[in-house]
Amino acid sequence: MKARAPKIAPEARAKELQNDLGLKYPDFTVCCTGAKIYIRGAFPVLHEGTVLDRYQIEIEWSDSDTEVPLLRETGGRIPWIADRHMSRGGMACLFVPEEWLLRSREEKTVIHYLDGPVRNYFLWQSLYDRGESPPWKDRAHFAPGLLEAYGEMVGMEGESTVRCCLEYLSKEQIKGHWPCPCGSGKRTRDCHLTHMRELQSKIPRYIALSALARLTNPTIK
Amino acid sequence: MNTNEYLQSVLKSQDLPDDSDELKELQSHRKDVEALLRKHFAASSPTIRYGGSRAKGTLIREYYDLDAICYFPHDDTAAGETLEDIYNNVEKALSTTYYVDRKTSALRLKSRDPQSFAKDFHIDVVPGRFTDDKKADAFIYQNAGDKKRLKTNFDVHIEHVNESGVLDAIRLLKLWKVRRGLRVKQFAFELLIIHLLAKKKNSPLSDQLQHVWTELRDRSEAPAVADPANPTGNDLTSLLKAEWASLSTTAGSTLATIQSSGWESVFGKVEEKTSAQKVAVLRSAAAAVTVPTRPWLPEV
Ligand SMILES: [Zn+2]
Repeated sequence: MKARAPKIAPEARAKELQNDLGLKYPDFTVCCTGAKIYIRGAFPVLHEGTVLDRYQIEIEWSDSDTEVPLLRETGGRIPWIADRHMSRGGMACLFVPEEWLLRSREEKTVIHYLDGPVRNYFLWQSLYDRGESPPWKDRAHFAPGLLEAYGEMVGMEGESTVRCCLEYLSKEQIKGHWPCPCGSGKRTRDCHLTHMRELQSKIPRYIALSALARLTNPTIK
Repeated sequence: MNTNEYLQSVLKSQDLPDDSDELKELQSHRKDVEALLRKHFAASSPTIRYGGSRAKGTLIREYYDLDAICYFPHDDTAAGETLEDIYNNVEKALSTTYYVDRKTSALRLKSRDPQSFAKDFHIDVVPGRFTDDKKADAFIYQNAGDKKRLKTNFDVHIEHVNESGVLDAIRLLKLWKVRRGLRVKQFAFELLIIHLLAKKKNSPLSDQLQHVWTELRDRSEAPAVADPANPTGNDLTSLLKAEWASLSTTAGSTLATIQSSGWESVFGKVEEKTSAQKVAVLRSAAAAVTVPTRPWLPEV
């Protein structure tokens, strides 16, 4: 499985995806509508070779660096309510988008998507459905959940700290005389500059920008 | 277990027993829906009857539904002047209690309860108007396609499928369709299967399925399939045409899968676990997740 080659025609890309899926998820059907690529079928929640549950889903696939794939549960099993992490439009909210976007190309294949976030999401839902306590904690809804995730991303806490950190990361260069985001009152060069420069090598500017934009408006795609 | 025994075990796993929670829930919703429609359209005394996959004998656990027809007398206008008015008025009435999804001719009912919003009730209400006093043929509204109205006959459809002699094949192919996310209209798909298997009614189930898939793979376009409720009037080919390419490709890959890996790769292993066992396996599967992605929510 290789990462996306840039600017490939949707029909050709759909064929590639169908091939990639065939190895592990032969049930899915990939098709195109205009420039959009849809993956449809019943998702099997697999564990040690057995199917524990199935969900009818539709994925609007995206190879983009700035957009995540969109997932809808089309069987009507999961209500569109906050506690189930379904938006009112029927969109499943698997993660804070930047957590996916931050992965390397090689870790953003369709198989990674299904084996990781999608399987996790439905395991969580299957347990919830059976009245079980969730296997792991969900994120807080809306902006607080974003702050939590971005805080983990930058290794700092607190709204103003995280925001400032993301702002610095969205700049071409972080200057030593800027006040440190941690709130120590020191300049970055005397405080977290090394940490910030390390982050810069891991978090591209467009991710910092999208994170900042999302903090202002969590609903942007 | 030979192939046909395996296919029978798949079918068995897709049964929904009369005392299942799913069917009990369906019955209770059905009562509510009927009461709502009767109250709302008391002046028009609609005919409300039930069909769907259970009546036709094609029910599968993974995708089941109940069709509730709500047909008004041919000379009634209280429920609406035109078919479109009827469709919209019935939608309005149902929307007081349900979240309603507008499908081509049917209105799909989902929950409006804030605790379970949009959860599917598996009920399609099909509004329409009888063509005459005999209350057999009816016109239903179509909000997609060239024709705004479709002539249909509830009993003829149910009978045609029920007495087709190929119910097992229909159920398995429906499961295939659902698992692969194929979007062809179920009633057109059923009529297509009956058409393709007209001379294969006595063949083993595995031969029937392979025959259907081979036909889907090898035909460059959908065959002309007549609607038994309106043999000269309704053109089902257009419904099949739109999805033919994906039906055809998927059928081809299914046949290749049977060749290379056998039938179990098509419908999967048949697992029979109690719900307690299921929960235990789900728990251990969740415990084995090394990087749990935490679900989030961007908006209400
Ligand atoms: Zn600092």
